[in-house]
Amino acid sequence: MKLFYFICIFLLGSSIANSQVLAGNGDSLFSKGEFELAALAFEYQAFSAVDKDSSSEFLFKKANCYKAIGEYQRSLEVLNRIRTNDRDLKKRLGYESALMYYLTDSYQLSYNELLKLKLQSKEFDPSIAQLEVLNLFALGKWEEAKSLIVADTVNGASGIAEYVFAGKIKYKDPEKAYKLSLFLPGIGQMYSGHFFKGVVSAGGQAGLVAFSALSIYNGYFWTGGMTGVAFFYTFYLGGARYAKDLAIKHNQEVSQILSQRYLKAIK
Amino acid sequence: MTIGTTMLKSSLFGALCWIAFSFQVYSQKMSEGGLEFVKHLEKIEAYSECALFLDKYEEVYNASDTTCLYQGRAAYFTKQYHKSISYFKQVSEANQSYWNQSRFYAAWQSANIGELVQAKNFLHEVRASDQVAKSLKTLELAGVSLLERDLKTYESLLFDLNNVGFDFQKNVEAFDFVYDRIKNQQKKSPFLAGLFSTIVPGAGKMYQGNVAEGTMAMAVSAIMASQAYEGYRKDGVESARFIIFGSLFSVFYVANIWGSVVSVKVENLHFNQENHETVLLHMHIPIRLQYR
Repeated sequence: MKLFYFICIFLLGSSIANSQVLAGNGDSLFSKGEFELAALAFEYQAFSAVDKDSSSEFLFKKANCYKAIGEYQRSLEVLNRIRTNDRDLKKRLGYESALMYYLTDSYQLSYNELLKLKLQSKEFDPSIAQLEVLNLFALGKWEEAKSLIVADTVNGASGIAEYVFAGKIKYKDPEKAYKLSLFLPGIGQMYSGHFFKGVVSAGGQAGLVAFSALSIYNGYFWTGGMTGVAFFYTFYLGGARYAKDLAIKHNQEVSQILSQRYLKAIK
Repeated sequence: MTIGTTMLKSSLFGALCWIAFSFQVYSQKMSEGGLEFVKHLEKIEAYSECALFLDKYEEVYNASDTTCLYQGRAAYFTKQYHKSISYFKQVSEANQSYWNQSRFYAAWQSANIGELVQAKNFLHEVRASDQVAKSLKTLELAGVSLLERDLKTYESLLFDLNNVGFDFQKNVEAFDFVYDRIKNQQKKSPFLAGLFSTIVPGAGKMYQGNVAEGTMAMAVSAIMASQAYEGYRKDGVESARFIIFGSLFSVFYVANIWGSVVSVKVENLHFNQENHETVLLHMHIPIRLQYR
């Protein structure tokens, strides 16, 4: 009996001592806007929780604290520590993980999380659909995103797809840009939407070919062969890689525009 | 005995426990629950949270050996070495385990930031009362002597190093390997490398041991020289072609000599750096294993 009293008093004392250190529990600190301290308090509450489910709930709240201060990677790390069998928490956990992956630019992982969520629940969830559309934009799967917007009648009016995809929206295949520039220097850049850069690249490489040919024709074999051909070869491959990079950059820029328009439309 | 008397006695016992606990909290020790939580934070690698908790703990209950030790550890895990050392310095001799741990970690971190004298001072402060602490101290001192390139001190520690026990055998072997490398090092001369490259472009790099780079430099020099010669043979010494390619060759020729000199210096630097890192690694591993 004495031992029982001792243990109770010790645990109570320890708990009071630590809550004094953190000056409150996680919820009160969170409402005060002290997110880092709230995260620590939730970690303590999860650490001293008696059952797994309440511990998971505290960790979920802790992840929310890091989300509030924009530390998405840390939030994700906390979410990855949660193991639960609770259906509701599992669903919220899946969505938050997908959101954090999206915010840390891991679009494929975010999309995978959303697919898992969709498998678990057959019901249509508008917030999942929104995040899925944003991920599809970032992954360059614009047509899929368009059909999802059209099918989604919950998130907004039917005119959303037309508004988002208004104007010249065209996906540029980076591999195609690379191959086009290998076929004819400068064409890949033009395909990627940079006509002037394409002209400069084509002109420069045509000049190097002319220099090589003229040098060799006039009997300057070393100069034509080594300087002309070597430079042409370097610019030829470099130009093709540049065309590929330009296509990737173009797609990223258009993805951002599409995402912004979509977010504006569903607000 | 009546129920009332039993309850009164139990309550008195409880009150005594509470007083004892409070005394423990307000004395220089950290509460059991607090320490467990700190260890938990370390385990999940939440080092910044650990430091934040300890800061708040010190605000309420003042700093203690335990808080300083774990503050030092949190800073060490986040590679804030200067901060970590200053915390470890505050750990008192009251608890031998904490004292030795703080000294070893502070010594390694000092060595890592190049403060070798400070590292030795920390190691001399270690109380080597048991075999493990004694062996670890010897090993760390030997490591510092290698970092200082003080081979005589290292040799004087050889007898003790041979008796450090099986746990540290791999580290001693690594130290011996570095010791042999330093002792038998054949230093390459930057002057000779430059001279060789002056006579034959690329030869300096070959002398330094970089045959592929030397061959490449030789081939490029030959190509440039051929282009300059072509201009000279066809258009004469005053032609623009000869002047352009001749200048290019001259620049490359001089740059290659300079490159050979620098590459020997860089190679020597790499040699030292490689040894340095090996020694630091084998000083670090046993401390981490000993004080997880």
